[in-house]
Amino acid sequence: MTRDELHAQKLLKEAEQAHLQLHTRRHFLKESAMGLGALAIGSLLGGCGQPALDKLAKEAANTGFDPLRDFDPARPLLPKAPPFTARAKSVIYLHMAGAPSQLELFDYKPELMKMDGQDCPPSLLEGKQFAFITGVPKMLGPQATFKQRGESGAWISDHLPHFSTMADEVSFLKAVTTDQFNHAPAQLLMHTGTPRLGRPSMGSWVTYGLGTENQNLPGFVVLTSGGSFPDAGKSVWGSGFLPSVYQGVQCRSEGDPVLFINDPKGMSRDLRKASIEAINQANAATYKEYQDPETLSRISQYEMAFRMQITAPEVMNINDEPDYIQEMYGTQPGKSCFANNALLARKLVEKGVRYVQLFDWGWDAHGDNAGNSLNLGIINKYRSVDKAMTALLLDLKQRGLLDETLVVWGGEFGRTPMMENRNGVQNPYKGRDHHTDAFTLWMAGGGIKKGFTYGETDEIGYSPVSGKVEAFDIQATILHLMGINHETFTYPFQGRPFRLTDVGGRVIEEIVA
Amino acid sequence: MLGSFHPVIVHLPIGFLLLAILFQWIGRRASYAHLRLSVPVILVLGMISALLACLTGLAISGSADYPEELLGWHQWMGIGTTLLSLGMFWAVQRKEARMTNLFSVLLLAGVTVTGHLGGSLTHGEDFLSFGKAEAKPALGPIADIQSAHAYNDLVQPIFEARCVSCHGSGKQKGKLRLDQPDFILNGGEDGVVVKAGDAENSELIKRLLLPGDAKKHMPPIREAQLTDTEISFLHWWVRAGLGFKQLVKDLPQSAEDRAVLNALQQQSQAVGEEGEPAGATGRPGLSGTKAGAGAGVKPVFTLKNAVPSETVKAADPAIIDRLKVNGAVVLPVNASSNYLSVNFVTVGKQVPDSLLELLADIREQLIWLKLDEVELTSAGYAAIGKLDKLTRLQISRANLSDETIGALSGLKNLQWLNIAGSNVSIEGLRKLSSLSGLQQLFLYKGSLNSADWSALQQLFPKVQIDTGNYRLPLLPGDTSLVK
Repeated sequence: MTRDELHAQKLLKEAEQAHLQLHTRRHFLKESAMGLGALAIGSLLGGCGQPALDKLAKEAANTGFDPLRDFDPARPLLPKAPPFTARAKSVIYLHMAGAPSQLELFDYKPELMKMDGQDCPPSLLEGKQFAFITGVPKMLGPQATFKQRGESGAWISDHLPHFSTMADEVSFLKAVTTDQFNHAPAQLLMHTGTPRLGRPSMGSWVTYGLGTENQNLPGFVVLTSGGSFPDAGKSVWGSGFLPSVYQGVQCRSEGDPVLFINDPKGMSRDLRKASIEAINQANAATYKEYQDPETLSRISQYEMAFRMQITAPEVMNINDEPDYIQEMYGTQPGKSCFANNALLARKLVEKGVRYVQLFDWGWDAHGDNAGNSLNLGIINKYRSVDKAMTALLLDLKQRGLLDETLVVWGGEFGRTPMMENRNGVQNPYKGRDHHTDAFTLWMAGGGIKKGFTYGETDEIGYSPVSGKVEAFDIQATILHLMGINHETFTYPFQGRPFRLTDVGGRVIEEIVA
Repeated sequence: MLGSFHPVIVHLPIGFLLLAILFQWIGRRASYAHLRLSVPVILVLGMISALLACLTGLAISGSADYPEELLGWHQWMGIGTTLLSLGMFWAVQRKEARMTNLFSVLLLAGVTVTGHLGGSLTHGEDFLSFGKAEAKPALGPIADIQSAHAYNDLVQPIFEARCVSCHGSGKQKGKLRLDQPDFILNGGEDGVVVKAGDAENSELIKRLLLPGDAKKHMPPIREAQLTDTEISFLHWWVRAGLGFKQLVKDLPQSAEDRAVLNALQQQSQAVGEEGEPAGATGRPGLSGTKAGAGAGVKPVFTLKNAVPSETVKAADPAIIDRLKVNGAVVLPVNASSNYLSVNFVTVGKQVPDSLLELLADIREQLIWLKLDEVELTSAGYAAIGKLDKLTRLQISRANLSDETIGALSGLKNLQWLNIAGSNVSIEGLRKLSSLSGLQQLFLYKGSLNSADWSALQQLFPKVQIDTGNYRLPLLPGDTSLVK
């Protein structure tokens, strides 16, 4: 017997045993003892969660909104009406992974300039822990020139010359805080509501609740640029305990938008159709036997993939856009870059995609090398997004899409007003450490006030003074704009209803028009 | 006609009443006590002129389009001030010292606030000039821009066409004159307006670049606007050091600047043939928003506002199912509403008339309709024209034409209309002037030209019109890296 044959035989045996396990009584009892116990406890303690469940049932009855009841495993992405009239139908979330510095872009602190080069006052360091700063660092003044822009007079630095013209279109949140000072947990908190793995991301929640209007495209698309994935990996667009069909579909801006979207050479569309039908028949038989809804999701995924083969290449192809649009965004056809992704985001939203998540990596301005120095590499990051994000807002606006599309821009935390001194030694370039207490995020379109600023930090941008908001508040606001009450939008898992905002979150009414 | 004297007459009560207060207070010193003798006379004059100001003010209030809230305050403060002057007169006559003091303070506040409100009402508005400047081309054809005289042939004609009507020999708003080099360099009441070599910090350039609905944007949005190329040209001229005597070719210019100059030459030659609409010349936010709606946060039109408050009975589920089977996305606007939104995003380019005619059966409920990248027949457009409950309608990148657009004229509840990317001219749009509730109109990539802009604003005076075509200038940083 050859090695391959041995291997095949082994696999077959494993499969048979796995199949048998589904049938033997002994295995069932052994495996389910704990499960049955948990079930018993669950029903004994069932009274605990009752008020919350009552509230949910009441709201479902009042509004007719119950995604769980309306969940059709065969067509899980069918569009559903939100419980309340939405202000936004789609979301484009521009996440600058690595955390951009608020002190060089939006939070103008002349006082900090005066302290430049001085030792950090001990009051700022007491009881604080930083990712890299140890001992007593020096203060670092703003590495930018600021001006007030537009009629609203919002402060925007010269690093964003194009975006500066948009001051009267957006609302700034100047006092966002987080409690996570490392990238991955902070990104997870921002997008899934917890710093730990395993919860569904915001895009998954939204597509679970509302589905998507175009059944030929995914409802939740993820586009990355900057040469690397966000530190939290694919979990930031994962579906957690929601059915897996709601996880973000990562598309590429270079090469085929979706890997293997084109049929291989020699495979005709008819043959592809026949093979997908065969696979789906097999899956249907499996479903008949085990009744696992995930199997139906699987079937629908195959069907969508087949439809996407026609639609996606057309929508995902930015080369068809006219030259002046390409110039406005500053695209680099054939390459992977933020500008291409921004243009793609507009095209996707135009075609009815519910949630488009962009991640642009490389904003981690520590100053331990030239590439992440505030005066060198990070300036190139500003340049790589400035024109494209401005073009995105203008392009959505002229197409009448900005009314119904919410655009969010931000990072996972902010940067310290102190210059980073890694291991107590001053970094060779100008940089700032991770800072959790205060950073800036902006929103535009989709029912957001124009030319408005909410929240304020102290005179060196270290802590919020007023209008402090956290990740839960931003999530609550995004859901609110989509027509969903974050407090009653839940999914039952492990015996209790789960929310994106857990037990927190306040809709930031101040910025809602 | 009476009303137009209001701006003249208001200065009389301001002067008289302030003088009366001043004399009253100065008269407290024994050496000036004789001044008090004239206070009653001045007060009577002040009262009469204040009364006249009120009457003329009421006459003008109905005739022009002022922000309502501000106008209301101004009106009642004006009437109040007139009454206060009566009160002070009474107190003075009765020799009630404390009441006189009280009334004089109140009167001072009244005059100041009313005057300030009145000033705010007219601020930036050229409301006494009858007849607005037409948007006319600033420059005649230029054969070779490089050998043109930078100031005499280019800058001055632009200023002449766009600025001098308010900043010239006739009027000097903000004490600024732009009709001669000396005056240009002198600047206005807030100091110099152009700094040689520093366009970014030149007030004149800054104001040109402000979004069209910004208060300080120049020229005021109701006046003829500069085209994007003209602004870029002036930006260059300031950057290049304000050449008043040189030819264009003698001033420093980068490759980008040369492109701007060429564009200006082309624009000057294209005048009379076809040009971009003046309001759509690319600067962010330069679309024709209505001016004077009050400062601060701008109005935002949301989906939420586009749902009628009255309830409606549920639509026939059989019809909804038939629409869905044919690929239309039919959804209630919210889970507990019977109002419907319909989106044809997955129907395809050719939408059958029968499908559109089906919408008539949910006419009562259908308030939002979206058709993007479609080709419809005139019967199809006629079917849409019958959906008179629609508040939001998008027929973009469609084969809508001057003929077929007439079908939409009966959609009287329409608040938001997006016909971007359709080949509709100003003649076609005239057919929509009956849409009285319209708030927003999207015309990006329509077939309009610069001559149509003022007509468009007259057609839809209350509508926020977005003609798109935004452009972003290419800055050196956009294509280079810091190393």
